[in-house]
Amino acid sequence: MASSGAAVKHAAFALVLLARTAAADDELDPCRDSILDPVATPVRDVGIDAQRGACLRNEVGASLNMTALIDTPGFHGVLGGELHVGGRMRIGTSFELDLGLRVIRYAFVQNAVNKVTDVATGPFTLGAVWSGRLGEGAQIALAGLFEVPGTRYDQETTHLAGELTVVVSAAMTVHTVLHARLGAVGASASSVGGRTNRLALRAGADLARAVGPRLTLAGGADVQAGWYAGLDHVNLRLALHARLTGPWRGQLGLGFPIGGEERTNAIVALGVLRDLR
Amino acid sequence: MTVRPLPGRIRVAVVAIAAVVSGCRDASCLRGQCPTPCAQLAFVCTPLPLYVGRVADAPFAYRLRLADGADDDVLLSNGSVTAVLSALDAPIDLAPTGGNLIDYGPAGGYDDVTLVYQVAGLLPDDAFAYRTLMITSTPGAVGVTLQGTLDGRPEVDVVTRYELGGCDPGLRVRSELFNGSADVQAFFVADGWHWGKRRVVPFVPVEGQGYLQPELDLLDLTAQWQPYPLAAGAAPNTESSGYASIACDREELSGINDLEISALGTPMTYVEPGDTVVLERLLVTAGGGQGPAPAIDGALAARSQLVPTPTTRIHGTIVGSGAGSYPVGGDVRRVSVVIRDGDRPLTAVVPGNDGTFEAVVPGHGPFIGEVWSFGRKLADYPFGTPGDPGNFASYAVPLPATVQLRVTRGAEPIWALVTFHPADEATRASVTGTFHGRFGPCAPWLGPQHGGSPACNQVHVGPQGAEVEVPAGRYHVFATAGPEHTLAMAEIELVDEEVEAVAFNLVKLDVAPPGWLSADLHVHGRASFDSMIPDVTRAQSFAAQGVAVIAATDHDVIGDYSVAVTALGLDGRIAVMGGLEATQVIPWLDIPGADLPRVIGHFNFWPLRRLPGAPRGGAPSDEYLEPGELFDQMEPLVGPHGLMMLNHPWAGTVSGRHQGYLRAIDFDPRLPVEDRATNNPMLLARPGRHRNVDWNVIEIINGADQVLMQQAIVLWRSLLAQGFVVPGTGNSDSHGMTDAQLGWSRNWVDVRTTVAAFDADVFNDSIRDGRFVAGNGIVLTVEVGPPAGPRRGLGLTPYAVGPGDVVAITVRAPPWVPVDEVRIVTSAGTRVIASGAQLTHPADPFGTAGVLRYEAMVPVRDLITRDDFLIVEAGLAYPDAADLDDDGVPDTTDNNGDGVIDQRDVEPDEDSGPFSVTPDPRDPSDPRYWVTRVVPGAWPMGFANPLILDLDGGGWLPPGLR
Repeated sequence: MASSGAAVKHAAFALVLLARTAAADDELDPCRDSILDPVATPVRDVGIDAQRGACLRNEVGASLNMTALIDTPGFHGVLGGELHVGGRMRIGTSFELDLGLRVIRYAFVQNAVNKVTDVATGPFTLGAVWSGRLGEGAQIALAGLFEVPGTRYDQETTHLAGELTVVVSAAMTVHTVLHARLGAVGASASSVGGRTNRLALRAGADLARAVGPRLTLAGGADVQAGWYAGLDHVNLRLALHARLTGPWRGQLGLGFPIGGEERTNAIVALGVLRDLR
Repeated sequence: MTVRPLPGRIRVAVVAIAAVVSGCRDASCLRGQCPTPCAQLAFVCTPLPLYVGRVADAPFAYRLRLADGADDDVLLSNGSVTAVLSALDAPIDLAPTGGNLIDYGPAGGYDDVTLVYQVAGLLPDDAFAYRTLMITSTPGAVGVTLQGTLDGRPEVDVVTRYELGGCDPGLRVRSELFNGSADVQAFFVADGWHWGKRRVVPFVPVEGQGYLQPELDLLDLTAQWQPYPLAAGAAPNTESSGYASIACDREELSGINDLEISALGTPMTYVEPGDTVVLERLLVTAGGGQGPAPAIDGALAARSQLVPTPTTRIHGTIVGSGAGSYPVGGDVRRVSVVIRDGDRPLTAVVPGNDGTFEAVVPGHGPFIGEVWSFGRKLADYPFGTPGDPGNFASYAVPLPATVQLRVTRGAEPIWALVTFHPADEATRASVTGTFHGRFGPCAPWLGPQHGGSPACNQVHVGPQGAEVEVPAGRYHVFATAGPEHTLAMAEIELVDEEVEAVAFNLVKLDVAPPGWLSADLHVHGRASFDSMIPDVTRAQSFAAQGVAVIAATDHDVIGDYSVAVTALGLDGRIAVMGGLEATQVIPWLDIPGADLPRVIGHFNFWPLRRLPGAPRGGAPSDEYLEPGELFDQMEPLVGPHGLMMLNHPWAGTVSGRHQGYLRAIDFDPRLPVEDRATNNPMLLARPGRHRNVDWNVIEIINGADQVLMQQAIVLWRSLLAQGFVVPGTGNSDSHGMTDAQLGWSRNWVDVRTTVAAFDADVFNDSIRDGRFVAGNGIVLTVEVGPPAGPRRGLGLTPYAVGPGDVVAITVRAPPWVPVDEVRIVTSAGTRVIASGAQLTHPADPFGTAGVLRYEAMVPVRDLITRDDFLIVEAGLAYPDAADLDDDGVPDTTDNNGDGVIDQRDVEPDEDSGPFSVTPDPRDPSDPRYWVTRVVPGAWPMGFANPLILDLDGGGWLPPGLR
């Protein structure tokens, strides 16, 4: 069993090396086309754990994220939908500033026979990224994102959340990019009755493969631990990222958290983005 | 070191950021700075001394009557209002811990509260579970702060603060819930008022409601969760306190109201991690027998400080319509007035003895008075003048007749039960009533069904006689002193205001063998959360029904009725054994194949000694225990002669709680107990020293009808066939005068003694050995042995059958109880051995002849073909029933009357059922007519406990399932 596992690992390395060797004559740039960027399928509130690549972009976009949590034995269910708008702006060659707004959030929660729906707006999120080259065909970034306190419609609870992640995007071939990330997400929420703090470490990787000039298929996984004081989840991710027309792109992402304490069953993300000069 | 102040602009920024990050917070109990609940409210009076501390140390004048508080519970009082909170280690009823309101009322008045506890949802996990209790006392207020978490969610912190100021008309309460979990939740914060379905009747001032709220559907709770400006309630009797609650931190309370439970608090709320939900409310209590109005008055006065609302004081008088214009009032039976604004009931009040009443209502009218008398709404009476919209003036109601009742046995006045029935349809139409539409109809309605005598159409008559007010009409009046006496009837015509004397003479009948004591081993009274019957009325019913021995088995409380029995002079005539019905109410038991957790159902234990001053009268907590663990806990308390009974093993659920253990575990009687493809092996599990199957008696008849017996006999037969041999009992499970008639059914126990010489150990040994019969009006004797004798009587010791041995059977019943057939039950099934003309059918139901219905000797070998058990039954043939859900137990009757039992008989959205009780006949030629005049719903039946017959003389072997 152990020998067959090692064989698989060696074969994978060989495949990557072979791919990179075959593509050596072409330009290996993980940032050459934004449709090779990851499609975010966040699990946490406000998308604070949204996945991104190491490339800096000028873009605006909107996304509709839907989540489903159906825990029948635990008598708990949450169905949610959120509309986000946001933009990314390069500052110089090495920095990027991100701004996001959750325009509206709809949630339906059922706890045994208690059912409640809630519609809310906010918050704003602000992000900053530094990015630089990491050898031939690879880019590294340090990305931070945080929720701006006091920008939610509900002012009775103060939320503060953020993440700090190191991301590497590496072109495996002209058409294939590997995005890997390692970081931490945290959140604090306090109201008249108390405060709750959450912190988790996460790591993940996606492989994005362009299947033509207009379409990328991607798959990967995130692993997170600590939010629930143990393994939180392994979020299996699948995505389509397409060039619709000119600067317009469309995204479809699917996330399936499995294992661990996380009870969210599925995440569906639909996005429309526009590249800016 | 010199600290230099930050430059001004930076300092402002730092403070602002700190405020945002830490939150500019109000005071919070969870953070240790508990504000006075309902701080906006102020009341003025000349205050009495405040008290907070142990119940046992509280001034007597501050204590409550009929209260449950134990010595170490915490009593708060301002001399006007008294509340008792259970000690932390003394949980009551639905609450997972102590720290909840268990007694509440005007100081010195009556407590009608079972439990007020805090919940965030309906799951047991969502009940507030308190871990700390802190008492505070200042010159102006006393308080108790309780802190903990939700019972099943340790990351959700909760706190409740109770506070009572010197002039407060009620408890100020603040609860906080903080969601420290990572999950979004749908919560509310609410007080769960457990009324218990037979005591306090909720009243809400909402259009179309008042006393009549929509039937609670737990699965549709969210849709039913609605706002109320206030919610109130009172038990319908002459002493009850009124209760009302209002929100202090919002305009309305939200929740549901039902006879079983009310939940009143915040709306359903989307609760994110880090959110806090706060609820402040004032719980008002006032009055004593005036209905909810006094509490509503207080609640409106308080609410007007929060939400300025114009109010009107209603004042009026109720008089009799006869010549003298006598004032009428003083009792909810005589008159009760609901004040409405259009279709919106505003308050309900019972006028005083002088016929006058006052009540405060919101608005300026115009108002309508609904006047109710003897369960009937007499009028929608518009009232008020432009200058005095609250002037009800006076309203005349018909005065009832007065019936003076007396029952004798020969020359001796005796205790008896008298029932009234309309003698014609005109009378029925004019006297059928309810309590404001609650508790079902009675004809005539002489009083609330679940209260003291008279209740519904029934009256207890003592040796000194009784006087009862009855609306005019023609009646058949029946008198009974139980199945060991004749039945008597009189026909009377009553006219308003006239007095009619009715006397009955009953004759003792030799229904039971000499020295056999009749016993009801499953009896509830006021100590049970779901009973309102006063202890004195309860003790009267023992005598009126001729029961000699009682096991007092209140839900989760040890009681013995000793004070009431002595007060009535019944010592020496009735023996009462203290006992308990262990009643799990918090679902926890995971059953394979079940979606929701369950409870283990109900078990009776006796004899037990009440411990005054101890929580639950000394009863241990029974939540979260399997039956085997419960037996471990109770066996030392009942002692070596004590009994542990599985009650109504196939009873259904109440509010999602299973009442019968075998149904709770989905026991399949067709398959062996060891069958691992079923849940049956749960019976053999040994969670402690005992197995779950180690009860030593099982209840086969519960109540007067046949439903539970028809199901339980299937289960008992299965267990007996597999060698689990315990005796079966028949009991009333009575909670009042009308829900189930005390002593119907009952047991006749072969102890060869009298009540005066009663020895509980000897008596219980006879029960344990199966030396008794059970039934509702039918007494069997069964012996086995040679035709010429001597023969052995009942008992569970195996009997080695000799050649030519017979089973000698006699069946006796009073002439007013029909017996149609005699049946034999063995492992092979049920077989009718006599019916129709083979039995005696007395011609005169009021006579004394024909008590002996059947007498025969049947060869044993004609009845069994191998080692077996043998139960003899007698009574009416069972109604047809079928097992539509294929679980081995009949569940559905021919409910549509088409002669076939199929899915068309099943209620919508159900797989099977209902198993309906056959309605009482209206036709005197129906065999059940006479018995159902005094025992509503009765289906006569009886059985003798099993003979364990060793046919081959080689020792008894269980015959097994066939």
